[in-house]
This record gives sequence, C-alpha cells and structure tokens, in this order.
Amino acid sequence: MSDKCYVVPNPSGPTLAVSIDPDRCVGCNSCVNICRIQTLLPNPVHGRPPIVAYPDECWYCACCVEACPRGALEMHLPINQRIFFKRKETGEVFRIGAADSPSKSYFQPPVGW
Amino acid sequence: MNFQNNNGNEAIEWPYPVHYDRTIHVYADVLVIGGGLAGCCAAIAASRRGKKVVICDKAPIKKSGCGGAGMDHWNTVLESPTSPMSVEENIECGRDTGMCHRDYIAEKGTWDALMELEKLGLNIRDDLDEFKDAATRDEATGLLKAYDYREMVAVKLHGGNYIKPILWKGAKDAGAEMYERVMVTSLLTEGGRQGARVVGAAGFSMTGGEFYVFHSKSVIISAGYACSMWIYNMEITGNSYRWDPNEIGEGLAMAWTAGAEVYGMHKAGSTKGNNPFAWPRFGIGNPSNTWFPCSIVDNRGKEIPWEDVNGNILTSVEARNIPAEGQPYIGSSKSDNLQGIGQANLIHDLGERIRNGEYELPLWADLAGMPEAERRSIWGVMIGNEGKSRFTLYDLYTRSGFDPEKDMLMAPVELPENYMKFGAWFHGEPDVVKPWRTENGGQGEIACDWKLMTNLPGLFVAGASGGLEGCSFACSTGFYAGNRAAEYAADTDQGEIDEKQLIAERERVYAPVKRTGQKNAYVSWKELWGGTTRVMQQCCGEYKTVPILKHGLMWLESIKNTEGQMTFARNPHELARVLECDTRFTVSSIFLHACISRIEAEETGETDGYIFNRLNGENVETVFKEKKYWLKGENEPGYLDNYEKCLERERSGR
Repeated sequence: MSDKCYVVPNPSGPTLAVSIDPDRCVGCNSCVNICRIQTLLPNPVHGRPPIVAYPDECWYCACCVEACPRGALEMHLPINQRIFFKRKETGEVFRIGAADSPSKSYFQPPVGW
Repeated sequence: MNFQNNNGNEAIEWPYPVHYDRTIHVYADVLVIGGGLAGCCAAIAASRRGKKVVICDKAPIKKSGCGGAGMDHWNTVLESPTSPMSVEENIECGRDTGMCHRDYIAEKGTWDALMELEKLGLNIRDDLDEFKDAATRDEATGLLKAYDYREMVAVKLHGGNYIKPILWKGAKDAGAEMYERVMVTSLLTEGGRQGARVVGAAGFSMTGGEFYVFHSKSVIISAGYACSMWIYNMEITGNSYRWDPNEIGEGLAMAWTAGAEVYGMHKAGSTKGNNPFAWPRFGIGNPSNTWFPCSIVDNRGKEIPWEDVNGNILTSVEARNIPAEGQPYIGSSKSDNLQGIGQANLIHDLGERIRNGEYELPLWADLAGMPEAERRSIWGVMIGNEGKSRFTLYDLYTRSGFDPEKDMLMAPVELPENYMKFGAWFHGEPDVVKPWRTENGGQGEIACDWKLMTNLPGLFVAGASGGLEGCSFACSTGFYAGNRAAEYAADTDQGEIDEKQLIAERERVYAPVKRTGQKNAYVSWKELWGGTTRVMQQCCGEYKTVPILKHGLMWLESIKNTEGQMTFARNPHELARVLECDTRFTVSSIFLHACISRIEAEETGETDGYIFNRLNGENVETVFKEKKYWLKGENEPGYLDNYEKCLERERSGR
C-alpha cells in the first residue's frame, strides 16, 4: 500500500462548474478549504490558483464563490440549465448568460444581510 | 484561458501528505457523525451539558450538509406564542407516520431552536423595517411569515444563508472538537457484536488517508438521507440536485450493519433532481415553495387564476396567503403531516385549458407584476437565502441582466398536466425517473424511541437520518438528541473497542488502495455506482414482486463480489467514493429487503401495524409493532407526558 498518490483531474467537459480568474486569485485556498466535495484542490505550486480537479462531482453550492476574498471565482450553470426571462413592458426575451442579455445589473438585496 | 490547469488531463501529485498506515485514536463522550444542521445542534447541546464532543464530517463543517448552502424558511413553529394549534392536536389529527413520537419531538422543539439560533447570531427578524406594513410581517415580533399570513406557522429567515457558519461557530464556542474531511465508515460495538451497545466508530481521512478510531460513550448519527441509489449523477445535472452529494446513506448503512432497526424502507423513495433533464431548483419560474405565491402568466401575458384547497377561485394576490375556509393554517406539505393544510395553487384544470388553447405555453413567473413586498420577499429573502440559490441564482441571474422589477422568469415546458405536480416544474421532461420515486413520500429511516435512541444502546439519531427532514426539524431534533446522548454518556463508562472488529474494518477500508495498480483493478467508482443504480432501476421500480426483488439482492451481491473487488482508488478522495459504493450495496439491499417484507406481510394479512427490519447475522428480520406502540406500555398515556419525562434531567440541570 503506497502513500504516493496522484490526482487525475477530469476534463473540463461537459460542465465547467467553476472558473478561477488567475489574475485575481492569490492562491489563498479559501475556496479549497470550504469545498464539500474536494472539487477544488490546492495547486502544487504555492500561490497559484487551485486545481478544479473534480468539476463533474460539483453540487453548485457556490460556497467557494462566497469564500473567495478576491471575487476570483465564478459558477457557471451548464448550457442545458440556462433558462429565459422576458421583459414585461417590451416583450423582449433573453437567456441567462447569453451574449445579448441586458447590461449587468444588481437588484438591490433586502437590507439586513 | 487555462481555467482548470488540466487541459492535458495530466496527473499531478495528491496535494496532501498521505499516511495510510497511521492510526489516530480519538476519545469522546459524545461522537456526532455528520456535522450538518442536526449534527451541529447536537454538538452544541451535548457540549453545554459538560460533555467532550467530537463531530466528524466528510466536508468542512462551516458549510457542510444540505443546510450549509443556505435555507429560506423555517417550518412548523407550533410552539410560538400565537400558534393556531398545539403540537399535540397537530400530531393527533395528523398522518400516522409510524413514528409519530419522533414527529412530535421535532415539532415540539422548532420554536425554541429558532430562538436559540437567534441567540447564536442568526438574523431572523425584519429589524430594519424593510417589510413594514407588508402582509408577510408579524408586527408583534417582526418575524416574516411564510405561506400563511394570518397564522404564523412558518418563518422566512433573513439570514438563512448564514445558518451554517453560525452553528459551526456555536459548536466551536461550546467546545466541540471537529474532524473535517473524515469519513466514518462503520460503528464499533461492544465485543464487535451485532445488536450490542455502540462504543465508537472507525473512519479515515479524505486528505491524509489516516485511519481514525473514535472511542465514545454515545454516538449520534446525523448523516442525512440515503440519496442517489437509483440514478447515477450524470455530469450535466448542474444546479438541479437538491441533496448534498455527500448524503449517500452512510449513517443508515452503518446503523443497519451494527444491528439497528430501520422503518419504512419499503417506501424505497429516491430523491428528486439529480437527472440531466432537471432544472436549477428554485431557478425556474414556478408558483410554489420558495416562489409561493408568485403569479404565473401564459405566453400571451394572460394571468393563470389561483384557487384555494376547496377549489374556490381567489381573486387577489393577498388571498393566496390566507387559510381557506376550514383550514386551521397553511402549512408546508413537505414537512407537515396534517391533512388539509395545503397551499393555494393554480387552477386544477390548467392542463386541460392549455390543451384546449385557452392558455399558451410557455408559462412565465410574473415577478414584475407582483406587489413590491412580495417581489422582494421572493427574489430577496427567499432566493437570496435558500439552499444553493444565493450565488448560483440570485447573483448569477442578476449579473445576467435579470431584473425582478421588470422581468418574468420562464417556466420549463412540460406536459400540461404536470404543472399540477409540485416538483415536476423542477424535474424537467421527460420525467424519466418517476417510476423510481415516491412523491414526497420519504424513503425510510433509522428507527428510534422517545429519546431518539435506536435499539442499539448508546446510538442516537437526529435530522434526516431519523426521517426528520427540513432545517427546523433537523435543528430541533439535533438539540434534543444531543441532550439525550449527553445524559446517556453521563451514566456510562467508555466501552471497550473490539480489536478484531477494528482489524476487519481497516482491511475493508484500504482494500481498494491495496489493489490499485493490479492488472484486474480497472473498475472506477463511477462505473460501480452506475452498476448499482441499474439494479435498483430494474428490481426496485414501480412494479415490485418478491422474485424481482430477490433477483436484485442476488445481482447486488454478484456485483459486490466481482466488480466491487476490482475497483481502484488512486488517492483518498477516490477511496471515499469507492467506499460510498460499498455503502450503496448495503443501502440498496435494505430497500430490497424491506420491500420483500412488506409484500410478504400483505400476503399474510399482517398489515395492521408497522413493519421494521433489522439485520441479524446474515438474516434480515421483520419486526412487527402494533398501532401507536409509542404510547403503549411504559409510554402511556400521552405525548406530553413522555416528552416531559425525557426533559426532566435537562431541566433540573443534572
């Protein structure tokens, strides 16, 4: 029984699940340390972005996104789950995540958060 | 961009130092297996009783478990000062679940648990008056009522997304020791005997691979449901899966193997979502649950009328939240057993009216058209806090330009009749997994007595492992079980762990590691999982007969002894996944055995009570219990008497 172990990360398809912006990430591993699945593992190179090792096992709880102090992580719903919304006044129809969706907006969350 | 640094799929070294041969002994008064809502509450309660508490979890406890991803409302607070009905009445008039004492305990503690959570720091009230004068708000308390705006039986929680970090901190502050990413694989019993007192548990670390031996005077199983027994979790399920994938029934399997009785497993209900046709839960237009009571319009903008449970058309949005004539309150059909407390819904003949052209698909959830307070409640308090919706829905959708003040969210296109079924909105078409599930029927659980103790001395259950689903029930039974387990531990010595049992378990746990690299060890855990789900799809479907069920048992055994011995594990993560498949063999066999017991009991006419099952050596025993056994013999006469008796020590501070 060898203690030498290897990770063979799964390929990025069909679901990316979560992406890490290497320009923002400082390799603090906050996301790794909160991930319930071990989808994220620390990069063997200190200070580099974590490895998205098992995206196929991801539950999409996004605790990693919440934990990132630098806003470097983003969850991505798979294409088959991106539903439409319709602007009531104009009847225009948009799809979540589509290139032509309206400019990004933040709906004011209720205070008290 | 090389997002994932794995474009070439190149192997990298496991990032944590591994010591498969190392054994770590941990000593506790109370061991909690599963650190979700129930487990943390149990740990807090037991620690406060002066006990040394250890919590194990496969995940980081700060956000682990189903509730770790958030929650939006708190069900069944019948002990609140203004409750429309007592818990006693609610249980007496409610559905016979076969373990009504357990339901009583859960309902009895929800209000106190909520108050306790507030003390620990959870934001539960509309302190900043965002919802002043809104119908959802209870003016006396500042709490926001859910479903029912006349009676307060369910409460929307402002800070529900943070429930887990608050409980985690509470447990830490109370002194509980935490072992995270430690997977408990079996219970240890006195003398290694089945049916004997539980004296600890064995497990291993999912990072370092070390073997863990927990010595404990009492043990609480709060490990959630047994999920994904029928469906292999395909890779494009996305955000559809409601239950934490760590919930695969280890608690149930280890209790069963140790000789604990289980109840209701013949219901054989898998859980929903978790299929490639499903939608993000709560992330599509719908009128129920988290989205209740959102108006739904058809594709031409025509609003679908609502009706109450008596079939009367409701003419205003406000009326949807007011109990219908004869209804004591509006509850949640998921966690409440009382009949007739259902919520208002879209007109019952909607399917027909779609087919005859009166309404055109797709349907849209008209958030823009809702009164402002309701809109902010749905797309704010609820979606902003509910499990897995704060970031993957609330944030992601708004960043995609979705504006709740202007927009309507589409509902998936379904068979028109399916819009009447709660859940069908989320599951998607085709509803392929329907024959393998019972709609909100539960799935069976570990049986327990008035102390939430199993038939194995020293082994307690809390939360979904004991059939008590939902955040409020998980917390209330967690606090209760923690107290009872602490009392048990106070009266007992540290039991002796059986060396032989330990050696056998260590052998089992590391077998997949030992065989890795051998030429016939080419089966992945995924293939093994997929293989066991096929057995359940074929042999535990809607049409069940004893020969089919027995065939399933034989099939499971065959896979276990063949491919189950060929599965590799290249690191501690994969080892955990392989061992989860071992758990699936056990859990699946419990479902099959329980279904056989049920059919045989029906054939002999023994159906006027409840059927429990337990393992005795190689044999599965069927145990019959008479109607309302929980109020018979030493448990006469009533619910409150038993409950009070169990709380005596806690109250006197002994």
